[in-house]
Amino acid sequence: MGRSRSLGCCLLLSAAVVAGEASAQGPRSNSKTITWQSPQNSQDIQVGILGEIAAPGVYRVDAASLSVQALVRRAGGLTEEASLSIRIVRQERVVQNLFFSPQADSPLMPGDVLIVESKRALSAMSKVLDGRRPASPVVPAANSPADPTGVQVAYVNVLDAPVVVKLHLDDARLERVVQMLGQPIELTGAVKVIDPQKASHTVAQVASGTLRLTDGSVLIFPKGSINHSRLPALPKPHASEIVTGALPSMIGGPFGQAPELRSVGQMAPLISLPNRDSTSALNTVAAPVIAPPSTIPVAPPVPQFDPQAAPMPIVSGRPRIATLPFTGAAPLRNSSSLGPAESDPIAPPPQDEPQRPSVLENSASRSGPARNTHRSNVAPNDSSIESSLTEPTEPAGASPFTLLQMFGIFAGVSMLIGAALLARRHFDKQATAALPTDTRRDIANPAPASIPGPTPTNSEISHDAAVAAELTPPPATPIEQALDSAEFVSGNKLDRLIRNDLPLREEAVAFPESIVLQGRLASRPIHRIDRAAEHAIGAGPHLATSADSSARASQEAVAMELDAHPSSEARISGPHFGRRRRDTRPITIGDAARAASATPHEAVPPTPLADALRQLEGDRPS
Amino acid sequence: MSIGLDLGTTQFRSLRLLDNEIVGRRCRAVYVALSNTAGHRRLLEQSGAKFASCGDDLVLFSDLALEWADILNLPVMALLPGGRVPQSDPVARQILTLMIDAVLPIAERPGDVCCLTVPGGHDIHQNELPYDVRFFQQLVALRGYQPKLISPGQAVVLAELSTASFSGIGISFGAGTCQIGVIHCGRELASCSFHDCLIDHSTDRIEQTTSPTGHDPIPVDRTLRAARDQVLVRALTETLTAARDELEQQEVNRWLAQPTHIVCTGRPTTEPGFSHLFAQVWNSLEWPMKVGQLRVTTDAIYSIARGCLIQSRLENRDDKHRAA
Repeated sequence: MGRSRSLGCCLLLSAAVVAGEASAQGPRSNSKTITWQSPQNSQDIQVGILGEIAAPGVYRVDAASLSVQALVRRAGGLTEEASLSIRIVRQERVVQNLFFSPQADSPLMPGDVLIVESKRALSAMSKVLDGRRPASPVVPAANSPADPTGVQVAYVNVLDAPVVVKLHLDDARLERVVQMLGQPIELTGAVKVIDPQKASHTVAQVASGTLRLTDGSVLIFPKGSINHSRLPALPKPHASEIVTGALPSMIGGPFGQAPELRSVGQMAPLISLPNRDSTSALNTVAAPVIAPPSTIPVAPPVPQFDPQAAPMPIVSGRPRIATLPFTGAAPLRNSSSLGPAESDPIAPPPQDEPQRPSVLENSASRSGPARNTHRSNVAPNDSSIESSLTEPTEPAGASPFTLLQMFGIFAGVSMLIGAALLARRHFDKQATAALPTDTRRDIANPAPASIPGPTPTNSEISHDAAVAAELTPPPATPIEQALDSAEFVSGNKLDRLIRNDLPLREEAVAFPESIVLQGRLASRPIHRIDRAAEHAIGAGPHLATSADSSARASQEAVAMELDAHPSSEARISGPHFGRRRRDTRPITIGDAARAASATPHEAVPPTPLADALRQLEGDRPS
Repeated sequence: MSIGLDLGTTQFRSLRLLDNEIVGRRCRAVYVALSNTAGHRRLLEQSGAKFASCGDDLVLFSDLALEWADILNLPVMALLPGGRVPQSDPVARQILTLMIDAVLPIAERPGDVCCLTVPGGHDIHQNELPYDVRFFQQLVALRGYQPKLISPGQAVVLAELSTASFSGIGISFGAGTCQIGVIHCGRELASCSFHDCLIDHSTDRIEQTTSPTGHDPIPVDRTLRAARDQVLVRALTETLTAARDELEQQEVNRWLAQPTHIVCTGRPTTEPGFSHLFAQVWNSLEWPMKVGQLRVTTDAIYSIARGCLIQSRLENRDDKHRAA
């Protein structure tokens, strides 16, 4: 009785707590905190690609399917000039020099910049390293630019995502880039430049602002050093739609022309018109069609940065930062410095802008420290963004899930995890039962690992390796599987074999007795040299002389004959009786011997041994 | 059972794993022919030497051939002159079969993997394998194994560069050819072989340079031994220059993680000061890659066979798991 009463009390208390929490949430219409991001947009990240690619630029891609191959496919494929070497710049340094394989699946991280190297750059690099010409620390791009109209470079840490632009050759200097970005000239000393034509893939600290930038350079600015209010219009990332059909490639032709498509894969190129904008946005010598001077912000800002004269505007009131707080999706442009004239006339309005994730705290936007002082400069294209940010896309306070739904989701996820664990255990048992006895013993009593750290069990390794071998085309080599499975740390025989710890015992080889070989042994020709005649006599008894005057010439002649017929046998000195043997054949030594005695150095084949022999004989005292 | 087989120009070696030790066998690819006289036959029978009869000749193999050649001053014949199987010599092919049977025990289970290297510097990745390679594959298959070809460069990297993720450049200075392999994670990216390099002449005149002490033919004979370093340097220069040009054409320097380790094996690597000479030559050529370490195998005889054994063990494990 008392027990049921206490149970009832507990239930009532719980109900009261739930009701209190529900009431504490207030009316749903009064919710003013967060509009939820759609799952698709929350997984979008931005990566940049430049170099020998059909449509270089920055791409917003889905994190779930992000790989080098997918990005190359989306960027329209490699050009004909592309080598298969792709360098990945991540976290301000070159982390990987990848050999591109369409079948492989190389992962990427948000903010990565991929540089597709060209064959020309590599050949130039190898020539520099060849030692036949003096190596220059920096190979000027103007000597052999891949694209005579400009130089592709990437900026890192300018915005939240990398920026890929195309500079005019005259502007391909670090100092000029800093000026065009509206940053103080002192910043040039802090910019790191990753030069694709450097022999060693190292990050070079640039001390001089006059460094010429080569095609494919990556400029890494120090974090937090960029004054966003002074930034000009920067390119937008590519839209995500993939369309079929050929589009003019931006690589290989001057601005304003319609260059032919150089994409060499089956991949359909993207609509890369925004990228055309991206490559010409900073071009001071713009083509009249694509980048008319009237629409391009070519005028560099004030070179001397005066924080008092130009205070950095506070952008917290603007939704740009609040829009993409953590997804890696960079702001498309610096909203505080954009103007209507800065939007590219040929760039289509971003189609995914209305669906852009928006995390906006309404109260924060209302009570922000200050409004954007350059609000009048907001581009018309951003009106949709603005409206989406100031007006929540869902009813205010509409939380997408109730507590019950969340509980259901949690229960479902828990059940799935439990089922996965059970299935894994079942597979482990099966794999263990199929293994030999010693292996099962090893699994039951695992040997201590030579390298501390969690390692999977052998059954996991075997199961995963077997599954991977069946599913992955092409199959990984056993070495790669073993490397992946960390089997070498298990202290088993293979580990000891690799570490050469096992003792070696030699067995004597045993041949069977009384073997009868079928056939006849291949006889070896025996050469007899009679210097009295021009030809060696192959038959009949005779006595060979041992004169020294021409012995060397004869020996060399025989050596030449042996070179021509390695299986032959020479007996050239000493008295002997010749008897007719099979395959005895004469050799002609006249011309060869005379040539050898006259100019032995030319007659002897130019091999190291022969050269050394000649030198030894030449140095030997007579 | 896993087994590795290293078929060289002058020597065959096998390694297999038994209990807690490695068991090796080796056999020299040479023979000696005596005239089939009553005296020779009696002499051989009294000494307990095993010989084969072939028409008018008595044939001795391997180390026994070297011993009797030294005693009777007989010429030693190479079974694989220039690393090639003599197609017009059926007796030599029979002797080769005997030798493969001697170094390769019968497989415990049919289909056990036997990784092997073949002499001659053939390209083992081409579709149409040459006669020599098919000949050796057939011999191995007759012993019950599943033959898997690997290159000597790959084998030596597997044997020596485990700490470098089985990545690096493996160089095998063989008696017939010098083979260089660029290996990444156990997979061969590129390879090249050179016949006219270090020991070409000694291979042709194996009867002149093969010593009865059981060593490989020495690349420099007595006359040239004083100029050994000079010969090594010049030969290494020629070989590595050609290899650099060849591998540069294949653009392998971009594939390798740098610095790259190099491991060398073969009889010349046992010469005193080889590492120093090799480093000098390498640095003078300015290869377009950074070199991490230069290693010389401690066991020049069985290092390639050990790499073959490692690969066989891995292949067998893979097959076993697949079957499971």
